[in-house]
Amino acid sequence: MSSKPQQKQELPEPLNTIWKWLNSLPVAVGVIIVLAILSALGTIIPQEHLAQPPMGLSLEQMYIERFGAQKYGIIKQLGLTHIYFTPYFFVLLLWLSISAVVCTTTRIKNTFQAYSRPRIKHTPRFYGNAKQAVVLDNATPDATVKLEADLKARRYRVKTETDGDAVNIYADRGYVQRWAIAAIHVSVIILLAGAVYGKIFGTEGFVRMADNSTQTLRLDFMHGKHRLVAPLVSRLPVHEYELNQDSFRIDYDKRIELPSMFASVEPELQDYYRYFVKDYVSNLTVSRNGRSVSGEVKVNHPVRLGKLNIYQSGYQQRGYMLIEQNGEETEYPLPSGLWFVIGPNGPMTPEQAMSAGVMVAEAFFAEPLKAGTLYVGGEPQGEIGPMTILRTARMEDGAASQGRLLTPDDTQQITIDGQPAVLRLSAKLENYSDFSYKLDPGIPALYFGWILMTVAITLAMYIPFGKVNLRVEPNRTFALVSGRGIESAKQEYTRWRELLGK
Amino acid sequence: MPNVSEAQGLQLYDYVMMVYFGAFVLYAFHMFWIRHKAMGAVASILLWLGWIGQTVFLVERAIFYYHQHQGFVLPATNMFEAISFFAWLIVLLYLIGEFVIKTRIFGVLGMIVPIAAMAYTAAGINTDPRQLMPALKSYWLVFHIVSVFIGYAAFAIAFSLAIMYLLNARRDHALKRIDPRFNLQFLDDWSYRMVLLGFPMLTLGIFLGAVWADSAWGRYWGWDPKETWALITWFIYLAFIHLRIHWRWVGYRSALFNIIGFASVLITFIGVNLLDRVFKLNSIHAYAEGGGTFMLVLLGLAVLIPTVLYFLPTPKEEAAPVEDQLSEFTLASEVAADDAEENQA
Repeated sequence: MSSKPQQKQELPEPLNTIWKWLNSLPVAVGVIIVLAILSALGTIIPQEHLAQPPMGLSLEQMYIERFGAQKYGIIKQLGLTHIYFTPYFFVLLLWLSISAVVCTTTRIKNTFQAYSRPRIKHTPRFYGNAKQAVVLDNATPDATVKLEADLKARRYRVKTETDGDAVNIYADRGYVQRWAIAAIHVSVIILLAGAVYGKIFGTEGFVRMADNSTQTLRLDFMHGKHRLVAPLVSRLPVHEYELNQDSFRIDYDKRIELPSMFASVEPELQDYYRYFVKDYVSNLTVSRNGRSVSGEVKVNHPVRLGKLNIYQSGYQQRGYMLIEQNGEETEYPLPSGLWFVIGPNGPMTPEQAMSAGVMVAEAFFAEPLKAGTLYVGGEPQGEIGPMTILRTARMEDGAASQGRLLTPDDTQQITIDGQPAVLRLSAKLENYSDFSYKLDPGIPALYFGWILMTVAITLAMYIPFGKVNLRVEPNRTFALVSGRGIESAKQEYTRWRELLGK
Repeated sequence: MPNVSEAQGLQLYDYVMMVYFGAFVLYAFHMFWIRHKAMGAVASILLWLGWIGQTVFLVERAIFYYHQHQGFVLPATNMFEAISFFAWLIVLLYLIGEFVIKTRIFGVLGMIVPIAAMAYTAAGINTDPRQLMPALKSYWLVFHIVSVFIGYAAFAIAFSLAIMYLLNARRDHALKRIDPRFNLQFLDDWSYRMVLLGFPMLTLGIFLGAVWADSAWGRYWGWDPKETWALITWFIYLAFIHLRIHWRWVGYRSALFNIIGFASVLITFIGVNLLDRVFKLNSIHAYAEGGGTFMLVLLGLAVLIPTVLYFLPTPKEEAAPVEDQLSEFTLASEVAADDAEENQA
């Protein structure tokens, strides 16, 4: 990013000013700092796309509870709850991108010019103006030849030009570094272009599938698109995929050690806490237009058909409980990870029970259900579960019991509206597999840009660029070494002084 | 079943911490009483021993994970391990630096960040080996973490050198009196070189993280606070490099930038969780939870001290003018002036 605009002919105002600003380093640095500050703000104020409001609260209520209605109004007006998707954030990014394009164009032009047609001819006055330039005495008549040979021997690219009885020499070394700096700026553009292209012409979403089920996935390219880009994607052909979930399994592993936070848990419950989900794996077949691909999909192993990627993003394991009362058995979903009470019509939250006037003596808490294939030391060791840990609490005093392991073989005596009943865990289990899918045509450009950037930054930082200007006159030689610091210049001058002194 | 702390090598970890601290004290002796050359040598030996001990600790953890998960897992999967691995990398970088530059003067500075980091782990964060969620079982974990951490370690050393620069300029070049090679220019130059090491590594690390996130979650960028702060850190060093190259922001300004940059590294690395707690709850609970106050104080100091140092009346910068450095040569500017006079005459 050069601070000097290279345009010779002036543009009409205000274009000229804008052009100057786009080409200006201070403005670019300013934009970078503002972007950094806005990004930081977004990590302090909860962002809508990441926020997880507590149970029973809407997103809006959550914000109001935190900031108060008035403050929230201001924050929302300013777009601070979705900073990264606000017009001003976009404008700043756009500015930076255009500025990068402008600077890169200028830079490539200059880099190319300085490479193919470097300025060779310089007057003594040029050297006089350079702080680092020195004058060496020529004791030998063949100074030009010697200097040229010396530079070439050390892999300098040498160009000469005669000016009367003086010879001007230009030499450089490590020009790759200059190209690399240009490449860094090009990579920024490729990166941003890839991201924008992918956002416009791509789409993403989420599917939940039960075991052994089939679903048709129709990609909606218009979803979440700004009205300005909508016309671009409205004519994209319909993408319809058929998903077939052949099987889904959840694998468990057993911890070698019980985590210290469970150290005080009763011994018979400890096993439950040592099981953890090792992996969840879907056998998925994806087909479209007669092409199909099938394979295992698990976290970090997406499946791909054409440009569509399908990722294993989560799972849900649903268990059921059986409640027997008056010789009649009814099945209800088990509310895992929640406090619940049993009313005449099955489980409900304690609040619901209270407001419905249901007479309850005790509340229950079920730990998440665990069921699947158990692996120990990488080897399958049979099936576990379904199992949960059930805690009970008296509604009056709220103190929870230690909890007990509940499997389909156990029973728990409970009361419903004052009547005795029996609760059991059903052996029935439903597993759901969650997939996210994405079609992003910008990815190749994005990755290419990133790799280019990393390589170019490394080259730019570790290949030293050095430039030499010499003007050999009959008795004296003007010398200017630049680009690699004063120490390196001093070394070169000392070397040439000896060379010319002989 | 082996005892929990034995199996996790926590006792060894404690010894390592003590050895590091011992090395730190000896380095301090070495620095302030320069005649104690032997003291420095002993400090180095201690540090090497501590580092080997920590390596053993990390290997033990990796073996533990291997038994649990039947695969290699880099022992940097939770905050405790990450900080420990970070300290390990800085000490390694410092030891290499010591070998290359052949001085032990910087021992005290090199050890500040690792000791602070390890003290933080001693302030009661969970040291349990982690059960790995499936997303973490990836080879990308190793490449991503190692490259990011090399970046962080380099920035940490750059930060130490920048602090040294500020203190040294204030203290009338005290360090230079100890060893004339360590003038301000040397400190400034090396802190910049460390940034030049760290910046490509951070870029690479962010890229590897994006590739990994894309394969695990189907998104390469999600404006998650951690990602955002990594980007902010990248922006800060980006601005720093541009300012340094184009406007010659060296010396004081460069040191200040380095410190701001490292504060951002700290927020990225540790502070993100803290910000989350502090700004979500608005309550004293956020501070009561393990080590929160410590981090806030550290972050506060990291920003406050250099800012105060920066705005105190500044002594003259040391860098000698170019003319003086080239005193053994005839300067072109003098000759050109002579020529001009002759022409006029």
